[in-house]
Amino acid sequence: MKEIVLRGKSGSRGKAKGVALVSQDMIAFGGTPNLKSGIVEEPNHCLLGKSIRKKILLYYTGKGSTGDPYSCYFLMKYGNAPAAIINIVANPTTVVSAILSNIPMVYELDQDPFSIIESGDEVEVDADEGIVKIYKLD
Amino acid sequence: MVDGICHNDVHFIFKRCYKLKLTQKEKKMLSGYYGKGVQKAMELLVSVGEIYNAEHMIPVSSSHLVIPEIQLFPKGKEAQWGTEITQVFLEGVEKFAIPTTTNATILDIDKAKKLKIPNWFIRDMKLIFQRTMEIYESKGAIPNYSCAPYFDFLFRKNEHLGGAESIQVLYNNSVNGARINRESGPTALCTAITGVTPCFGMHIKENRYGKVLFRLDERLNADKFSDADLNAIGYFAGRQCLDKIPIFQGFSRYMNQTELKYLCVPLAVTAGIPMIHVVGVTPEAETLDDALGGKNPEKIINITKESIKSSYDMLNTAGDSDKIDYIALGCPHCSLQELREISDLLEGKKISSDLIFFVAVSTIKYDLANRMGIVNKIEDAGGVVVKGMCPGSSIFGRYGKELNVKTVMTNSAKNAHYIGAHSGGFVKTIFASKQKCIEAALTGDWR
Repeated sequence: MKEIVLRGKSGSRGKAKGVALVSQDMIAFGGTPNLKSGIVEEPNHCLLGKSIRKKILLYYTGKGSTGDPYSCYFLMKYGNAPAAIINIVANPTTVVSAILSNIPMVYELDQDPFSIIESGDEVEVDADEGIVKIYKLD
Repeated sequence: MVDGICHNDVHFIFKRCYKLKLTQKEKKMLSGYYGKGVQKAMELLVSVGEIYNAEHMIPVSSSHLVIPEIQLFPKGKEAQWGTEITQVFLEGVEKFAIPTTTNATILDIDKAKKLKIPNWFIRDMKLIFQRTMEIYESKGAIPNYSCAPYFDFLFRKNEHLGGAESIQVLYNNSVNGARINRESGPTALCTAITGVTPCFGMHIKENRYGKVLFRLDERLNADKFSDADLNAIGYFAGRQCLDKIPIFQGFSRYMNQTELKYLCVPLAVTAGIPMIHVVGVTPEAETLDDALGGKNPEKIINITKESIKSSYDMLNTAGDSDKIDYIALGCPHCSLQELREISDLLEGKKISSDLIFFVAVSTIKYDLANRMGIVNKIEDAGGVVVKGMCPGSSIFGRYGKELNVKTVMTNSAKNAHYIGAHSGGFVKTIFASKQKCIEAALTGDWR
């Protein structure tokens, strides 16, 4: 098992551990997943058919509606929120979504997470300290 | 294994190590002197400010609210969840601190029957609507209920604003030159309560320059673009520019408000962009050099016939044999001029009885249009003018399955996108110009 440590900024506090899901497309909580199932239903989205529930979700930045913190809160209430969010750029709508739904969020990491994290990797996020640990099988 | 999620109680965790410089009054708000709601509102704004390294707060002249119970989720426990968030900030608040406008609702209850929305669907919604509107309006919220407050309330260049609704943010930054961040629903509410917003992002001139240059292929004629073409261009650009502010070059200096609205709006659908520059139109983009701030563009992208077609292909999901249930115009809400154009095209004609054709405007424009006879002209032709209602993405996207709506035709990329996305592809969409939507309304046939 190889451990890789990345450091960045904290958008919303908390700690989480889980399986990574990498999205090449941007994400809107209102529009991308079905809030009641956590499964991505947005037509043409690269995660179509996949669940974001309890995943460590890596995507470039948030898109879409400014009502997103409400949608994210409903996703959380239905038990389908991601375990943590890793972004390159922090969109204010995502930051507020993460704060109000208690989802740890980190962004602007010291290395490009897209070149390191793959879907299925085990990842630990400590958003209090802005640290991401990735565990890779040798 | 996972900390901090799936909790049942509302206990927002805010950052506590404030570095922002606050005025005496802001400090008092944060200390709880003005009550619990004001304190929580200030806490959230300060937390966001801290994350973006804001040095101070700035007073703003207005805010625009997205109210979850009447716009997003007006039914059952979901409506309660919306209230769970908003009541944290509204506790003890008697009046909003600044002029505060309101976003579109999911349904114009007065016109629900004409839209053939069944009674069982609106039964419990009616109460929630009444109660929620009363709460906000009693605190001074302006009942314009519109996603196009920029057609009713005008702001000057460099005026600092708060408020949610992504298109309102785009339009005020790009067309009016006002300064506003892509605020979220909750922070817009906090700004209405406190009168301030953290100073970062779009409030600072250096962050407002364009980075990605979109140039019109010389074989395309900007004067011939329909509303849907402009939408398709915006929808394409959003897919290309990530978080970088785009600049559009080669467009007419004489673009009107309606055309600008359609170009802007998809940038907050396929991306999360707060502002665009249209060279010769945007107050900060008299020239390309102004838009770029004297720097070189990071990327140059040509807009071609193919890029426009790619958007149409993504937004047209209906099959040849699908029949139209609804034709929805006014996403975002029509200007008075656009509504008048629609009524002129329908004058003396009859809309097919096989479908429902409707147009959405703000409550303010509705009253005006009603007085001018425009509403009657459209309704005499068999159409419906709805006031203060989101014409599709909310009701058909979120409840399309429940209402068994299968196909919606619209001239709005935002509407088509969200109807498809929120319904998980259940509701099919036809995306075409206003002209074609009206032709289809008259013949009942869109092909």
